[in-house]
Amino acid sequence: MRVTLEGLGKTYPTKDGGSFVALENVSLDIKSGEFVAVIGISGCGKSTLLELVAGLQQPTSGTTQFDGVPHTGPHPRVSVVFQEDSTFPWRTVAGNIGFGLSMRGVDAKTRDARVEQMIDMVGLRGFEHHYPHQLSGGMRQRVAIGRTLVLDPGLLLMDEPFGALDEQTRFVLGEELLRIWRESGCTVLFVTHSLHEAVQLADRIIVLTPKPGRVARVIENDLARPRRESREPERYGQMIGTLRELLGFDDARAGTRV
Amino acid sequence: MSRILLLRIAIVAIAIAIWEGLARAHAFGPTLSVPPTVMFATMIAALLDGRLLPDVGRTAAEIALAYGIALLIGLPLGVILWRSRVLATAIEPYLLAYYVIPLFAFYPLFIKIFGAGIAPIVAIGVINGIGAITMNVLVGLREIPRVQLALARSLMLRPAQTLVHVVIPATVPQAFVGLRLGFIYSLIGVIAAEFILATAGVGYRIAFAYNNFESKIMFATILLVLIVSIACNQVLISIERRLALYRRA
Repeated sequence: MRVTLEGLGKTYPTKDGGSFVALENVSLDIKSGEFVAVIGISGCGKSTLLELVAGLQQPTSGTTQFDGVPHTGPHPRVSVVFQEDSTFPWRTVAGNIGFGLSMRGVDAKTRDARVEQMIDMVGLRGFEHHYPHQLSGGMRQRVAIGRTLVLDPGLLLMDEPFGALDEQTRFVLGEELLRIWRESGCTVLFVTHSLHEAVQLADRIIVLTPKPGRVARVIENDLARPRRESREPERYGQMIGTLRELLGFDDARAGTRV
Repeated sequence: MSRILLLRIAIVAIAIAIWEGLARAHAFGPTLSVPPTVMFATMIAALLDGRLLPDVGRTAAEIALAYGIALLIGLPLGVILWRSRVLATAIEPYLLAYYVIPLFAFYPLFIKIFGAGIAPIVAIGVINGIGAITMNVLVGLREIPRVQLALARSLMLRPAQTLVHVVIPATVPQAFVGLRLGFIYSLIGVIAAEFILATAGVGYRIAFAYNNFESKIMFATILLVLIVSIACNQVLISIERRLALYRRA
């Protein structure tokens, strides 16, 4: 699915009667099947951007187009993976993964077959009858990813999906996400504040800067996959360095804004 | 676990044994010195010869009625307060002070409003039960994770689907705490109200026996109320525990 954002902006009213510009004039053209990461420090509007594309919030200005068709509100071919644990504790792994299909009235036989297939795809074989409280945080995110992918989305929106996980789990799940992404061919918009995660995963990295949230730079990531710091240390380091600079990591004064 | 269970049983057994000893030594005076074994035997006898049945039946009906009405009012009230933040914020201090009010002090008013008969008794049971039901339903609804509701929206669930598949299952564990407490409070309200307002029922029977120095039947009735209350509570707690399993996410 091709995603076109044109002049997307979001302004919130503040309590003192003023207004806060969370996002300003974001225009972006994402090719079908492209993996795009959005990176920025907290409060730069990256989650707002994702919620606008997801249709969970209405933009103050601008439009979202899917395959050239303007759209507002949630879209049946757009799925979201949230940062927080969004699994239903009263449903098993299989029940969680099949949830969207059940709600869409898919017949039980087709649903079960697709859930079975998805359990293998997200690596949860042997846990299909477990409940979320019996799983680790990483496994619960696998459930959440399986639940969205089983709907065969054209666009997968991910809001720091591995943000609550340790670094190693984060890397492993990232590699698996890449495999799944290649197999499914869906477009991915992936929000993160991790430089390494953005470089590991994305074809293109959108750097957002805060107050107001706007696109500071779009970086083409042409490092060869699978991307490892040890494979192309110089170019990998350069890319991380560029991101650090754009995000103001190396600017000592930036600390005063945190 | 088994050692704790043993200790639990031992505490009750020792208390009963001490009571038994003191009662047999007539430590509580001539009328009130009823040993627990005698209480139990009297209770069994009274149940078998049907002496207590009309009172038990009437009290059970009053509790059922009171609890049913408390549910009919308390559940929707919790949902309304959840939907209306303004109303909830306005009412919150009153809800928190709910059980501070000495309800029974208003019993003359209840008789004036509801007349004699079972109406004022049921009314006290209803009022006593509603608070716990409403508060826990409200807390349960408020604690639905935002992300689960966002997921429901992004999956484009219909309102009825969101209600049945997200809101209700997410709320049930906490709401059930309210359903259990509401039942217990309705039960307490009804039995206590019977002491002062009734002409039948187990509360009335206890008061009547007390006033007529019939200590054996008084204690037998108290024992029956105790056993039934604890049994009901245990059943509800075991259901509650099973539901709470889902919450350990």
